[in-house]
Amino acid sequence: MEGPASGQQRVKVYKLNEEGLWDDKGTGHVTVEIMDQSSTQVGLVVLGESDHTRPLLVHRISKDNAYQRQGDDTIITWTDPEIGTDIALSFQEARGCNYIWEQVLHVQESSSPRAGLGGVGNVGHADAPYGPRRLGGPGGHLDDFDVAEPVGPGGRFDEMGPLGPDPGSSGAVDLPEPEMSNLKDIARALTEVSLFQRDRIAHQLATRRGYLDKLLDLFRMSEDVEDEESLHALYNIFKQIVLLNDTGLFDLLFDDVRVMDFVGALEYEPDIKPDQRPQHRQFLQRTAVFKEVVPISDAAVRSKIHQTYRMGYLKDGVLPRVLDDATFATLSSLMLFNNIEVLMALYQDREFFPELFRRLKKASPDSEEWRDLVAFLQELCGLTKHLQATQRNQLLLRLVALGLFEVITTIMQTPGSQEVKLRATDILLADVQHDPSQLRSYLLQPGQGNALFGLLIQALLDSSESGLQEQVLEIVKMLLDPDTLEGSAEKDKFVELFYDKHIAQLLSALVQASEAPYAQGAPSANTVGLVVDLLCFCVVSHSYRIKYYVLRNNVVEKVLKLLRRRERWLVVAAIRFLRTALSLKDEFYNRYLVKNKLMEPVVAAFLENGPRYNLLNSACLELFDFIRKENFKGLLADLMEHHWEQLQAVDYCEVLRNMHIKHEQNQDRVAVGKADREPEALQAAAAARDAELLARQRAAAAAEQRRRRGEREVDADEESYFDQEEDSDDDEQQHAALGGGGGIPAAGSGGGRVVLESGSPGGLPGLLGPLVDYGEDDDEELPPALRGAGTPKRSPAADRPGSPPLEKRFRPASGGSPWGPVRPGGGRGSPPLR
Amino acid sequence: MDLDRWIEQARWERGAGLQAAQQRLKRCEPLKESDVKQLCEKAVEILVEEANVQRVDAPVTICGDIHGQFYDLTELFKVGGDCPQTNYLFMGDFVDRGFYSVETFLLLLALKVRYPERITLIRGNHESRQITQVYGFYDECLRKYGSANVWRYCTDVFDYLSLSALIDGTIFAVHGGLSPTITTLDQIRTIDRKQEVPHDGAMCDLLWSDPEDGVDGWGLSPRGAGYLFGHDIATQFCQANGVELIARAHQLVMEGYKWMFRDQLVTVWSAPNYCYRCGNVAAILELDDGGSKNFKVFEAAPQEARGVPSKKAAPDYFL
Repeated sequence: MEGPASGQQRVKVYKLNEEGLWDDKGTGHVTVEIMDQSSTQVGLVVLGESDHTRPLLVHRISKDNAYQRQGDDTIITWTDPEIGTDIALSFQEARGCNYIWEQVLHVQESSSPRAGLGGVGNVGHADAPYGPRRLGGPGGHLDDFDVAEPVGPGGRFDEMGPLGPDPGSSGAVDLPEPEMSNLKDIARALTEVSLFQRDRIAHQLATRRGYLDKLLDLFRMSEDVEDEESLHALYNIFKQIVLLNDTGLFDLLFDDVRVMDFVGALEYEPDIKPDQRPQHRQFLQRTAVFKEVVPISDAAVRSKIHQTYRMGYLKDGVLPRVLDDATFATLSSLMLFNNIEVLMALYQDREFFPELFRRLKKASPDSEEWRDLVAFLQELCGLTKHLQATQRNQLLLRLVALGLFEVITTIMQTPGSQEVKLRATDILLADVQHDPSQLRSYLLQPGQGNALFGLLIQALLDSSESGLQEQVLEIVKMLLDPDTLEGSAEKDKFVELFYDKHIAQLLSALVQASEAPYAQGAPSANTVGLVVDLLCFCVVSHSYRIKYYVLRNNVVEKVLKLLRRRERWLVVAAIRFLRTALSLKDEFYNRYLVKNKLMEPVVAAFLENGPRYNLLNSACLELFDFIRKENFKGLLADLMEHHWEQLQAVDYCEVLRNMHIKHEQNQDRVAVGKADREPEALQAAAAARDAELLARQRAAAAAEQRRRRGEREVDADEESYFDQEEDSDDDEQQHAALGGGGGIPAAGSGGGRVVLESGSPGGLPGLLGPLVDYGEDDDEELPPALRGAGTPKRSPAADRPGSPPLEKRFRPASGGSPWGPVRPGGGRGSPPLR
Repeated sequence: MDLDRWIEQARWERGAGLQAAQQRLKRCEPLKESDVKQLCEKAVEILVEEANVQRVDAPVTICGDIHGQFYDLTELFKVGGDCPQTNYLFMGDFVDRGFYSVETFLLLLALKVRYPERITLIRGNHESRQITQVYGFYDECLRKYGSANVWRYCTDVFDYLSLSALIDGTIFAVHGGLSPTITTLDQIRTIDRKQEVPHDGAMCDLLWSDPEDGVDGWGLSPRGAGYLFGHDIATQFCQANGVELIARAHQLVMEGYKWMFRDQLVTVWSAPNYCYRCGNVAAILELDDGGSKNFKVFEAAPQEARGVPSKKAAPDYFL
């Protein structure tokens, strides 16, 4: 049948009829074409599959039209002024849709010189309140969670197949000769260059003998005679050349022989007064210093390094406001590829890395050379992030084999030199982010390895202004992260080492901080905060080990001593530690807290804070409410039996009264239960439940682990699945019923809310179901994306049922081609992370 | 660290001739990393005392998203008056997108530390570790400081930012909108806000939701977080809480502000020419002590006032 390229632009055409329904006008292939030879009018033409002679659709692209992307980015809609109705093109493939969408935007842009860089911004109607936001799709979409895919080199038009019927006939333009008298004409020609001429113009610039060099000659001449007008024209010329976004041209412009004149021309922005002119050349030639800490034998590699630096300078320093997304992305990826090339060339150079490490070991600590070498290593390791996993692995392994960790150990042992230590830990971070097991294995080695572990913990506790502590905390967390520990050979030994040797140091800092908080030499509040943070991490990550450590060493008690600190944020951090332990829903912790009367200082801190509505107040209330919602009976009883007298005075919210109600219900139940069951049976049941809880805690910890990363709701479900107590649902319902019925006065106003909270942790599917029933519209409904989201004024009509979704109806026609699954709406899901 | 001096320097170009501005720019060293750390620590001490629904008294000027457009922020102060002479409430989204997220957030934070009673900052959906890693703030910190530490300090402060404000008991200000799990303001009280913005739940919704004409009740949000809420929901919320108006930001409006739901809700947007290319104007909403409202609309700072974009690239390079 069709080749893959033509398949990309296979579309169905829909027209909105008078009843607000979408009429299927047929299937065909869409192209962007020049409407008539004499003008620059460009339009969309769809040729039907069955009848090639008569187009299904001819539409002139106008800058006044609001084009919209919808439906998983496979639909483009607009209101056609010529026929006065809405048109929708539903694409077989998102790629084809992207391609056409980009072209439409570019046509809009070039037909309106003021259209800005992204194009989309000006498409908005005056009556479209959220103009740009509503327009979806790559190419300038500004909405969150819908990151525009950068149009890198792979997305440039010349690689996307031929443009229109014949590029040669599409209003070919030749640039005027590079003469002083023509500068303005050249600038104008470049400014007005249309989408279809871009490649041709770029080609001309690159191939017309000496054209670029002639322009740069003109620049030097103009600068010599201070011919401002020509210089401004040249600025515009080179700015437009950059915006042609052509990799071949970039190669020429960033060549050593041209780059300084090229950057020089970009100093003459017409809007900037002469005394404010940036001095890019001066910066590149005098201020910027290339430090070659280890000689690089290959001249080509050196030149690549310079080129990359200059590209970065152009991108971030010279034209940051001028570059459009596509050009920005092209420059970024050129830099990226350059960096990868350089890294791999250095890696393949047999001499380079050994020499680097020879120098690192030889240089005397704190010498200038030593600092430069470490800085170089830091930059190198930072760049490995861009390598593919296998390359990255090879390169880092090589560095480790050459003694990377030994070098770091030396740095961490050297007194002072905070800056170099910061670099060293940054290097470790880059390594650990790739694979922590190498560093773990090293830290397990007696001697230097062990020493480095100690040094890291020491750095974590060593108050400074440098940010070293925070960086080390991140390293330690990654080393202890159960996700990376899982399945690694050194797992048990490493965790054991941490709990046997190092955690004690953290704890003693904590004790010091609460016993003599502000004494000379006591850890800073910031340090204590980091320690509590790490302990929270451990509680969540190593449920088993940390639990026994906590119980044996009274860790909770020690953390809660912080409640007496005067820094309120530390007090809140202590509450958070307790809350983290409770979130494991582990009866052991709960009983431990009751037994040691550890709710007492919490209640005291809460009451001492008074009715002041601050973070401490909210954190405590959330904690109490959590205990009630989870119905931790022991804790509830402890709180109510020992503290209700003080707590009942709290009248500014329902939380405490609700706790009390819950507790009383528990009491009633126990009373009933006692009458029915033998005490022995009760005990056996409790023991069985403890055993079960123990078995479950790993699962709960894993869930908590994910929760910590922000996937709260999924895990809430999962946890409640694992942790269901038979009667908890009953409780909630009963409570709600009581509240709603006004049976218990205190619950009166809160009744409705309780139903809401307990009903569905997943966010009210019950309420939402009937509103947005995308799941059911397979056959009868309108395409979800078009429904209600068509052209704004049309949406009520479009809401009427009747037509099947575009994507669905497409299927039969295609005869089982592998089109993607239908998903309602567009752009849902998690934000993309780098 | 001399906060006053730095604040003054950070607003260098105002009122000064370009020549003088140039001079001051040269003197204006960006805050050192250790100063940022100190500033953030002080800010946390103040923010931890604030409520999830922070009480604010009129007169106050309400501002929407800024998104790192530092020069436009100084334009905002030019239009609205300087802090502390004018009281301000910023409804989040200080960072990302623009080129000067670091300067923008640190200036606002410095003002907060210096005049805690005069300026209120509440959290936007972009004040988040996850979002800032995608939309520019993280990269900017890395570029300007060479390490992620400044980003770490700032994102730690984000966790302490209040979630909403209540002005004179009658205007509820929040970055995004309402949440199906929140019917009364009291319910916001039991949120432990010191955390990364979750993917759902009340705290997420407050920062992510949008009002939507033509929606009854709650609808799914195309953003993937938060909800769309209709006129009826806004009315119920206002009645239940004795609120007259919901002020929020979060959505670009070309005219800078937009009334919805029969004047029960207003969107305020304070980033002119958003992303340096949307062509929109920006607005701030001034409330005087009599309760009357006045919008001031402003455009992007003129190119000239921006001075020369300063290259922060490390002058030394190895690779």
